[in-house]
Amino acid sequence: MSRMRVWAGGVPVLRRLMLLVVLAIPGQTQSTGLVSGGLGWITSNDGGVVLHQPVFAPVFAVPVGSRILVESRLNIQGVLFRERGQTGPYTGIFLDTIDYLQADVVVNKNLTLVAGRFLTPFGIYNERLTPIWIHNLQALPTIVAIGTRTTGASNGVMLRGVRSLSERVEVNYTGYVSAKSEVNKFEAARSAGGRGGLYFRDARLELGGSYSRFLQDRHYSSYGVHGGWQPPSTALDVKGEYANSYYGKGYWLETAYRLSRFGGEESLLGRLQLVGRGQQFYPSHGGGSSLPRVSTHEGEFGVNYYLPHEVRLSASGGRVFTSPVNRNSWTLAITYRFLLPLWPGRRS
Amino acid sequence: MMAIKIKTCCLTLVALSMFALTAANDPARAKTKAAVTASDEPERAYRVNCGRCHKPPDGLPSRVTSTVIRHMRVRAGLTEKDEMLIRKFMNP
Repeated sequence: MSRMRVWAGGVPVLRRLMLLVVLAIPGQTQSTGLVSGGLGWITSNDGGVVLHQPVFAPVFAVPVGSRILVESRLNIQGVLFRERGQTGPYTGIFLDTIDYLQADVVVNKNLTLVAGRFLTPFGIYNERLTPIWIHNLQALPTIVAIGTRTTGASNGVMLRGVRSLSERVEVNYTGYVSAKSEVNKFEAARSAGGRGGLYFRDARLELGGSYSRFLQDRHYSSYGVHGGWQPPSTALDVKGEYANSYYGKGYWLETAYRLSRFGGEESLLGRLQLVGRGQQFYPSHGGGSSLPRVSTHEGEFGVNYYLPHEVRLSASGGRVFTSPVNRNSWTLAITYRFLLPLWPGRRS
Repeated sequence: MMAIKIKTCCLTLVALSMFALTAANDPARAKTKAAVTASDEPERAYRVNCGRCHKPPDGLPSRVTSTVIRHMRVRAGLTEKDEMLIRKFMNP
């Protein structure tokens, strides 16, 4: 009797397992795996020190069944520079990192479990704006190191989700814990934290806050607030973050405007985007830990030109005010965003 | 002196924002709320969500759209309804 019950109950379980295996076979999945990402060349000059950086950052995403997605992003980058800063022959280093390697498991419509190595969810820049084909200015904001130490990635588990409070308002939430790791390519800090935010759909306004606790060596808290606004009737994009930690506090505020009102986004002028960003940082307790040790103030302006086929040309220049010396900086870049199926598959 | 320069930068940013807002009669984007109909919803969901971080892609192979949307569900925090609408917009 009991054996019959086990057998009767086991059929659906076996069927589900077999279905999962079948769905995981390339070509039989509900959707096809993909490789996407950015390819680019960035040349920058910071106070006379010139860096040339070829970058290749592929993203792999492979669905497993209807509830699991395995995804990863690599960052393969060269840095070419003169041996003595502004003089001497060129030399170079090669960097390759695994930004994330995670499994996303859909728990229910409002909750996703993420396990593995993931981008630390603090503010909006680290998770959403780091790809070279996305950010409007190639230089990273100074405060991006706050709340994301030691590598910008965490190893552990994260729960995240979004829920509609009404037709117009959504609330999003994320919480994570990370273990310390010194394994090559998987370096991470012991930390925990979370982020919450509201998104007002009609106004296209996003506001939120983040908190993280660094739980190795010197224990300390970091917190920050972030915002983004894309007014519906114009091609304006405003974003900003403020963050505070034991080692300092600062903010960045960026405005970008695409001239699409002049003939649409595909016109000669409509492909042009103007960008401006201001940022300030004030160190505490001597600064350091990937943050400046002196007060730093920076203004930067740039232009992006969106060519067909996901190619973008960028140029920007700025002035950095620090004690004891101020300096100019400029950046030129070409980026290409690509996306390809990993294997032949049926239309989803 | 430095404070003046920083203030100048901030004012320039504000001026750029104001210019963009006064130029809000962009024909490609100016669609009043009243004019948004059910048939516009998929496109609206696409623009509201994708445009928060990046320029929407020129085009995607149809067989990867589902994977892209599942990736963006986590990265961008898509609601279940938006997932459905964006899928509909990308695979009409």
